[in-house]
Amino acid sequence: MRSGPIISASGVTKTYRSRDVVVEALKNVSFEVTPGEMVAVMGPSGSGKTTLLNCMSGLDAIDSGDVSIAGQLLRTMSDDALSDYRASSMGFVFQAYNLLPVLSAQENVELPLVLAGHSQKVARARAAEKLDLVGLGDRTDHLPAELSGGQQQRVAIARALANDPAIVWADEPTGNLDSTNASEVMDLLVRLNKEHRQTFVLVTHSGAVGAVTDRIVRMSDGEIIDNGTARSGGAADSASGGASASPGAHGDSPGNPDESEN
Amino acid sequence: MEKLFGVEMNVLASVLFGGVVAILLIVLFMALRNRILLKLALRNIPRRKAQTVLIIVGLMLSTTIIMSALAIGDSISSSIRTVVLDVLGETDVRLRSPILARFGDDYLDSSLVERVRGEVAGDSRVDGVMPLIREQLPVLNEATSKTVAATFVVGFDVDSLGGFDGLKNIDGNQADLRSLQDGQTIINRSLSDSLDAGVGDVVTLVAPSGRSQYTVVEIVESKGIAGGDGDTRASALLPVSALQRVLGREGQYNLIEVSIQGGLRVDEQVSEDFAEELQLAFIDGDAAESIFRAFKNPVIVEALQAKLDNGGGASAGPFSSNSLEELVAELEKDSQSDEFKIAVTNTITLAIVAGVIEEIGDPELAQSLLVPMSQLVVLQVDAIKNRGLDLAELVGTEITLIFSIFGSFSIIVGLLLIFLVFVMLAASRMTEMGIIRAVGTKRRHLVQMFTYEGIVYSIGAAALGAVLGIIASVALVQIMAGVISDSDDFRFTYSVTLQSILVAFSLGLVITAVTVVISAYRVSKLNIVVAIRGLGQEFVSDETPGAGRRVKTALRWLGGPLTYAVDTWRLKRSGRGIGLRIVVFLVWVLAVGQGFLSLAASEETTEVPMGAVVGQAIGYWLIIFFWKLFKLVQPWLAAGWPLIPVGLVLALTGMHPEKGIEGLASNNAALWSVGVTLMIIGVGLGMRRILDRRGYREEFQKRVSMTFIGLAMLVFWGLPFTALDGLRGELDGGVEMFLLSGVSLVAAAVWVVMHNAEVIVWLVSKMVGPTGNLRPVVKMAIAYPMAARFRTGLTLAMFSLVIFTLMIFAILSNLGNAIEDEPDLVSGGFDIRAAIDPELPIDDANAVIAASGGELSVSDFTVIASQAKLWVEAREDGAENLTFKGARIIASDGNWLANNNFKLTHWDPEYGSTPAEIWASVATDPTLAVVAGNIVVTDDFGGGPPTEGTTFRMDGIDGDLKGEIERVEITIRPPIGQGGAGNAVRRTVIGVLDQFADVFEFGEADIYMNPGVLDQISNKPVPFDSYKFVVADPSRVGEVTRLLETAFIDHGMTARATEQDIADNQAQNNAFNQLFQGFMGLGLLVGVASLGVVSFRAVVERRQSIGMMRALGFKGRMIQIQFLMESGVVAVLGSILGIGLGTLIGWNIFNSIRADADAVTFVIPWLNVTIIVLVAVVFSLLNTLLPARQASRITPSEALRY
Repeated sequence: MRSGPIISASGVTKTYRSRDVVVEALKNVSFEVTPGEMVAVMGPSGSGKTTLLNCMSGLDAIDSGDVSIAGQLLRTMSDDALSDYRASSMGFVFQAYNLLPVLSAQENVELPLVLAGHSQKVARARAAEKLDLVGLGDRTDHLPAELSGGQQQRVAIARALANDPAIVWADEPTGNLDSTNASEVMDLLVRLNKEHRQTFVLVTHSGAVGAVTDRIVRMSDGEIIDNGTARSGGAADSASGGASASPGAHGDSPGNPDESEN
Repeated sequence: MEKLFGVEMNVLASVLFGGVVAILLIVLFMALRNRILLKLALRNIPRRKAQTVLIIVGLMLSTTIIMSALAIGDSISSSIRTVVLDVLGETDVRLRSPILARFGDDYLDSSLVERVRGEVAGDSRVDGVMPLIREQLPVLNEATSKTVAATFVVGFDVDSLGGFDGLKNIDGNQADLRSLQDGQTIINRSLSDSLDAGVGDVVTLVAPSGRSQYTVVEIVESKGIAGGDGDTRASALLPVSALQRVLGREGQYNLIEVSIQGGLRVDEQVSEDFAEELQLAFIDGDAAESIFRAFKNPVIVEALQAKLDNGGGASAGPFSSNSLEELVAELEKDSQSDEFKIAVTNTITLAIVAGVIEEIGDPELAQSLLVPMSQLVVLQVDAIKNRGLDLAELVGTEITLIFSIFGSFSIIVGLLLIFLVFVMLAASRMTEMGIIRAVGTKRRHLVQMFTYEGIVYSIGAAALGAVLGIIASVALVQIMAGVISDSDDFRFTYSVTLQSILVAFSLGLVITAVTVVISAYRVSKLNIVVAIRGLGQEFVSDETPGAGRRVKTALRWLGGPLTYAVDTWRLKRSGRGIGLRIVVFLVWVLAVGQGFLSLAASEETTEVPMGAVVGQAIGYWLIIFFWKLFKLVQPWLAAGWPLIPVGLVLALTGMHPEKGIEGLASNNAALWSVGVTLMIIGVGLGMRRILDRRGYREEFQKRVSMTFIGLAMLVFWGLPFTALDGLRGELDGGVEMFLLSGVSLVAAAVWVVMHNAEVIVWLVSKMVGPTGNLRPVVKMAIAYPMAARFRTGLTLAMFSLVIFTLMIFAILSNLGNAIEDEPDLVSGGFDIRAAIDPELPIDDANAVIAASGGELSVSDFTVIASQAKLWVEAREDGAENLTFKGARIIASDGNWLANNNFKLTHWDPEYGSTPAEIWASVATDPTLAVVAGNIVVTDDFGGGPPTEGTTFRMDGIDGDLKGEIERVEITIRPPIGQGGAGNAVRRTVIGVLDQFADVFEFGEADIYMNPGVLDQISNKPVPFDSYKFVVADPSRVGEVTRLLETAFIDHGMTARATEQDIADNQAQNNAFNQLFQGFMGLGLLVGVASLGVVSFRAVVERRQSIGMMRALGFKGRMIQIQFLMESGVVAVLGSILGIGLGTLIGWNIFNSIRADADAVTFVIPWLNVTIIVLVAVVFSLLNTLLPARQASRITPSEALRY
C-alpha cells in the first residue's frame, strides 16, 4: 500500500477571473494520495475543495504547478488522452448525482463501459452487476426522474465504479441526502474501498463522512492547512466537525445496501 | 397593389395597423398595472443576448415571407402599370368603330370626330381630343436593309396635340411634333434601334398603294402615341394627312383618343364616368329602344335569368367582364334607362344574349334583332387606361395570391418554429417558473409574463422580418429582371408600397403575437413540483372538470357579455380591482349592441373600422362560447368513437349531390376529406381502447393505434385525386385542399415515424453500431431526440413540410417539357410561321423568293405552305347545344395538308387511320374537317360545357376517350353581317388535333379545312395570309427567318421561328420558376433555422449533462458529433419524408393534368432534388455546427458547477 503516490500535486495554482474580480482558488497546493487510500478533503465553503478535485482529476486546467496521476503529468496529456484516461481509469460522483436524464439507470451505468470499448453484451452484464452491488438490481429500467435521491446517488456510484477505475472522485456525495441515506452511501463507499482497494478522494463538509476515511486533508482559503495523517483523527474530527449527526451510530450499523428506500 | 383578397389595401393596412396599436396599448396597460410581471418578463430579454437574437430570427421568418409575397406582387403590378402608362401615354379613353362594323371597315369619317369634339366641348375634365390613324405596316431602312414588318405607323393631327404633347425625345427634351412636315417622320427608339436609322436617314413605308420615303427628323421615347402596344413597340409618326394619302383614306381616321385632365394617371372614377357619359352620346336611341322592347319578351327575360343563375354573369377580369346582371335588372323596368344602354353595349354581354336568343330557337325574333343590334353603337367608347391599370392590378394580386398559397406552407412552418422556440424557452426556465408559481402567482400571470416578453420579441421580429422581406424580394426581383432583360418591351422593376409594408408588419406581428400567447398558455400548464425539481418532463394537462360543470360553463357563456358582467359584479363584492373589467364590459356591450342593431336594420356598415370592431366583439363572444362548447364535448371526443359519427356527417356533407344524400351533400372536397380523416382518427382511438381492455401494454396500444391512424391517413390523402370519384362523386376543391393535403400527409408520416422511432433507432444503430468508437455517441444522439418526442416530431414535421413543398414545386416546374423534347407537337414540322398583311397578298411565294436576290433562294425550303383564316360561327349538328358560336376556319393549301405531321387524338376510320391518311382525305374532299383539340370538351380542363361562353365547343366527341370517332357533323356559317344565311355549309369532322398542335396560332376554336370552303362561305375573296416554311438546312432557321421578312417586305411579312418561340416561352417559364423557387427557398430558411434553434437550445439546456459526459470520458469531438448527428438524423429523415410525399402528390397532380394533356411527361428532377436536399442538409448541419462546437468546448468543471 505504501508504494509511490497514485496522485501527486505540487505547487498547483488556480485563479478564476470574472470581470474585475480575481479569486485565487488554489494557492501553491501540494498534495499526495497513495493507492487504495480513501482521503477526505474538508474545509469551509469557498475554501477550494471542489477546485482541488477538478484540478487533480483533470476536469479543469491549472495555471501553474504539476499534477500527475499514476506517474503521468496531466499537463502533457491532450484533451483526448485525458478523456480516454477518465473513461478507463476514473470514476466521478457528484453532489447533484448528474445522471443523464434521458437514459435509464442501467443505460447510465452502461455508458462508461461502452465508452471504454466494451461490447454491448459485456456492458450490459457489468452494469447489471454494478447495480446489484449498490442494491438497485430491481430498478435497472427506471429513468432517473423515477428514482429517489439516494437511489440516484447509488446509480451514480455504480456508474463511477463501472470500469473498476483506479481512482474514484466524489464531490459531496452525501450532500443532497438525509442522514440515513448518507450513511448508507458512505458505508457502500467504504466497503467498496476495502473490497476493491480503489483510491477514493472525497470532498465533503460532513464530519461523519470524514470520520470513516483513512485521512482528512483540510483546506482553507485556497491552501491546504493540514495534510492529515493516515487514520489519525476520526474522533477528533467528529468533535471538531461538531454539527455532524451521530457518526458513531452509523459506523456501527450493518449498512445493508440492499435495503430499498421508501 | 390596391387590393388583397378582395379587400382594399388602404383599409387592410389601416385596420391591421390600428389593431396592432390597440393590442399593444392594451398589453401595455395591463403590464403597467402589474409591473412586477413586466419586470420579470423584460429582464429576461437582455440576459442572454445570443438567445434573444436567435428568438427574433426564429420569429421573423413568417413576416419575411409575407413581406416578400406582397413586394413581388407590388413589383409585378408596378412593372405592368409602367408598360400600360408607356403605351397609352396621355390617352385615357379610346373611341373606335363598333365591333360589329369592324368586319368591314373600321375607319371613321371626320364628321364623327367633329361630333366627339362637340360632345366634349366645354367639358372641364377633358384636356385633349386626338383623331389618329394607327396601322401596322412594314417599314424598312434601305441603307441598312433592315426591316420591321409590323411597325405601328401613326398619323396624328398636328393641330390636335393639346393634351398629348408630353412626348420626349431620346435626349430628354420635349419632342417637336408640331413642326412635322410632309415627307418627314418621327420614329421611336425601338424602331430606330431595329432599323439602325438615325436623324437624317430615310426610311421607306410599304403600303398597299406602294412605297413612300420619309426623312427621320427626330427620335422619341417609345411612349404615348409613339408607344406601340404591349407586344410591338416600334412606331413611326407621320402627319395624318400624309398617311391618309398613302392609305387612300382622305378625311378618315381609325381611332379617336381622349386625354383627361391630370397628366398620366388620372382619377379612375372620373375617366370611368366620362367614358360612360360619352358612350351614351354615341348610342343610337331608336335601336336601343327596339332592343329593349324585344328583350322585354318574358321568354327572353326568363332565359337570361336562367343563364344568370347558372353563373353566366360571372366576370373574369378587366378585359372579359360582362354586365348581364345589370342588364337583367334593367329589364324589370318599364322603359329603357341609361344603365340599360350601357349594359347592352358590353360586347361580351351582347354575345351571351345573342346565344340565349338563338337557344330559344325563334328565328323571327333573332332576325328582328339583327338590324337594331348592328346599329346600336355608333362609336365604342373604352376607358382603356383604366382597364390596363386594372389588369396590372389583377396580375399583381394573382401573383401575390399564388405566392401566398405556396408561402403559407412556409408560414405554417414559421409559426411552428415560434411555438417550438417558446416551448423550449419555457423548458429552460422551468425551475424559475416553478418557483414563481410556488410563491403564489397565478397561471394567467405566467401567460402574461410570457406574453409581455413575447410581444417585445414579436415587435422586433416583425420589423426585422419586414426589412429582410424587402431585401429578399429586391434580390428575387433583380434575379428575375436579369433573366428577362433581353426584351425591351417589359422591364421588371422593383416596387413596394407603404401599405404592403404596413400590412406585412402588422400581419406578421399579429400572427406572431397570437402564436406567442398560445404558446404561453401551453407553457403555463406546468406542474409546479415537476418544474421545481427540474425534471423537464413535458407539460401536464388540466384536470377535466365533470360533465355537469362543463355543461354549466357552456350555458353560462351563452350569455356572453352578461356573464362577464355577473363575474365582474362578483369580483367587486370580493373587493378586487375591476376598473379594467368594467371598461372591457362597456366596450363589449356597446359593440355587440350596435352590431345587433345594424343587423336588424340590415344596413350595410359603410365605415369598415367600426364594422370591424363590432365584428370583433361579436366574434369574441362566439369564440368564447364555441370554445366552451368544444370543451364540453372534448372529453367524449377524445375517447375516439364519437369522432366516427362526427366525421361521417362531415364526409356526407362534403359529398357530391349526385352520390350523396340529397339536401345534405354540398360538394365540398375539404369537408369530405376532413370528415374521413376524423373517422380514421376515431377508429384508431377506438382500437386503442379495445387493446386497453384486452390488457395490452400502454406502449403497444399507443404504437398500434397511432400507426394505424398515420398509415390510414397516408393512404387516404395519398390516393390519386380521382380514385374515390366513384364513391363520393367529383368534388370541387380550391387551394385549401392543397394546404390540407400537404399538412395532413406530413403530419401522418411524422406520426407514423415518431410512434415507430424504435425501428429507426435500431436501423441507425445497426448501421453505425459496429464501429466501436461511435457507439456511445450514437446512443446519446438517439436518446435525447427520443426523450423529447414532441419537440423532435415538431422539428421533423417542419423540415419535411419545407422539403415537401420544394419537391412538389420542383416536379411541377419540370412538367410540360414534352414540347421542348418534341417541338413538332407544336409546329407540325414547320420551322417558320409567317403572317402577311392581308391587304398585300402574295401571288406566288416562290417567285418573290426567287426575285429577292442572292441571299435567299427557293432551294432553301423543302416546303412552302399557305393558309387563309376566316372568322365564322359554327355549331354541332344534333347536339344539345344549338347555338352558333365563334370559330375560325384555317383553310390550308395542299402543301400544308400533305406535309404537316401534327398528331391526332381522334380519327374517323372511314377516312383513314393515320394522320397522313386523314389529311389526305381533307385535301381531296372539301366537305371534311379536322378540329383543334380545344374544341373538344374534356373532363378536367377545356373550358367547361359547350353551352357556356361564346366560343364553339363540341359535345359529340368525348375528349377523354381518345381513338376512333364516327360521323360527327357541324354546320358553319359566316358571322352576322358577312354573307347571307344561305352561305351556311355542313362539314364532317373526321379528326381532332392534339392539344398542343399549332398552339402558337392562339386559336380558340380552329377548324382545319380544304380551301374550297372559302368561296362557299365568304362573299369576297379571302386572301392566304399565313405561310409555313420547312427549311432545308435546320441550322439556318434563324437566319432564314430574318431573310424572309426582308424578301417579303412588300407584303408586310412577320416571321417567327417556332423553336425560338418555344425557347422564349420556356425562358419565361424558367424565369418565373426561378423567382418562385427563390421565394420557396425562404421556407427552407425556416426549416434550417428550426434545426439551428433546436440545437442551440439543446446546448444550453444540456450544459450539465454535457459536463457529466465529459467527466465520464466523452471527448469534445464526440459531443460535437453527437449534436451534428441529432440534427443530421432529423434533416435526413425530413428530407426522405418530404421527397417521398412530394413525389406522391406531384405524381397525383401530374396524372390529373395528363388526363387533359397527353404530351406532359413526369420527370423527377433529380438535379433539383439533389440540390434542395444538399442545401437543406448541409445548411442545417452548418447551422448546428456552431452550437455543437460550443457544446464540445464546455469545460466539464464549469458545466458541473450549476
